[in-house]
Amino acid sequence: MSCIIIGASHAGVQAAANLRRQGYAGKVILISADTVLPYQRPPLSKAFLQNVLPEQKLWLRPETFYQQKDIDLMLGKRVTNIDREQRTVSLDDMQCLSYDKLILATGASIRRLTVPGSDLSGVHYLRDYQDTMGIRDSLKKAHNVVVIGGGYIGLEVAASLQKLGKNVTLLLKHDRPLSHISNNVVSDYLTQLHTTHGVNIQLNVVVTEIIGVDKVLAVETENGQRYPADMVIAGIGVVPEQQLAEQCGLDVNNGIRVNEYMQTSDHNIYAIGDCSSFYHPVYQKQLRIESVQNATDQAKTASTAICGQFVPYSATAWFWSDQYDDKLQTAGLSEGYDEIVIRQETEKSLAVFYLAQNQLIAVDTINQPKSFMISRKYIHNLPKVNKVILADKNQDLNSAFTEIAGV
Amino acid sequence: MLNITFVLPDKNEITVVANEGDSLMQTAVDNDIEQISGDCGGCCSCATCHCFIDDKWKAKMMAADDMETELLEGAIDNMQENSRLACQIFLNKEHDGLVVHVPESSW
Repeated sequence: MSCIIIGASHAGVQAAANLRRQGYAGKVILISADTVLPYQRPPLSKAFLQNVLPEQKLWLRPETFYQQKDIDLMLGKRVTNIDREQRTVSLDDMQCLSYDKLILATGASIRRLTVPGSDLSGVHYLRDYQDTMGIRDSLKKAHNVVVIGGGYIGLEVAASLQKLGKNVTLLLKHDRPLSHISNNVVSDYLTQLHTTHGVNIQLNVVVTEIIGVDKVLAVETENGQRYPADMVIAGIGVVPEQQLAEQCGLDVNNGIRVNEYMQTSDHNIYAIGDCSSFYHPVYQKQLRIESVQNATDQAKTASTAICGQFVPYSATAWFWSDQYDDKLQTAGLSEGYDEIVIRQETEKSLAVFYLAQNQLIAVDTINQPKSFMISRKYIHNLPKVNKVILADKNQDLNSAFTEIAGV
Repeated sequence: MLNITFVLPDKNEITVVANEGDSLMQTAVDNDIEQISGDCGGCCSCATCHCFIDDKWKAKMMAADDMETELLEGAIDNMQENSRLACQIFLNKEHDGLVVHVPESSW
């Protein structure tokens, strides 16, 4: 009996660990294209980029863990093909391995710039360990850095580089940061935060060209502006890594389609984490979520099913981001909200609650961890809430969920 | 090298060896103490590493800061005086022999 896991990031490692915890007796083979031990991704744009987190603390588990748990960790190997009939996977070193169960934890790959000059030296992206090491190396000779993209990665990289004393310009295509996932109130706070720390943040600008000779010199935008750049870092999103699944005929559509147990259209093959597209029973929509929480929780669902217990996935999504000394935490998914309620405790502490038809569907908190935690406890079934209490910093937030009279 | 003892919800005890400078959360994760998952990697964002420090060790602990206290207050219904987030406890020589009680995971 054997279970092969392709991809050894948060999802893959959690799946391997969980199989052993639950007494899986067969072989567990964990295949990684990376050559270093499996590592945490969130610090790559924060503490590890700033060189304040030692490498040993980046690893998800120490090397001995895999030996102790009898997990066969294969580093630096790429899977080239899946044969569903023979139940085998082929590797780039010509090995062929048999599986009874296969878990695809292949993650996502960066979306690349396509404007002229995108292939110049000095244009970077940030997704894996090597990317961050490359950026750290280039930073030694860079002062002016242009960061493109106003999602979590762009914002975190801008904050990290500003902390390192670089001259940072942050270019956003949209009119505000986190425009797809957060309300104006949160976006405006972040814009102000970065501006206060000295980042030159430019909204509504479309990059038309990376200018340079061999090496990047500047970034040009549609309105004719040129921003001098010793290096460029683009954080413009990712696409699910679904090529292997597609090749072997599994259902894919913006991710590998899975059922509530993370099984693909072939029930011996599971897909978890950033690469999986699933139907969320609470939000009642097809989703693909890029987060540590989703990766680890889906890993648990898949490994539990492989061990014979089928428990549908319905975990509450949550996210976090650290920028400068500020902490942004999100629980739930805000898409489709029709109302917000704000709980402001101080100038630097606020929570934005997102409601749809009077039900709480998400919350963003900035430096208000208690509100994040309380909301995360209750939000799993999208409860009705007492909006007056939500907004009143002097009242216990718990009671907004337990005393819903007056809604 | 420090010895740290985790008392699990079923009262079984596991004693592991920890490195000075590591967090208590990392020590637990490295040794597969499953109730302490440390999902956020130790940046005080998720409260999935809640534990109780044995009363005898109270004096050797640095107090929790505001961020940790707020997370605990929000996350844990039956928070106790010795409730802590393991990611915020960094181990030093003083902690050799530390005893930590691990509750069932709330998540």
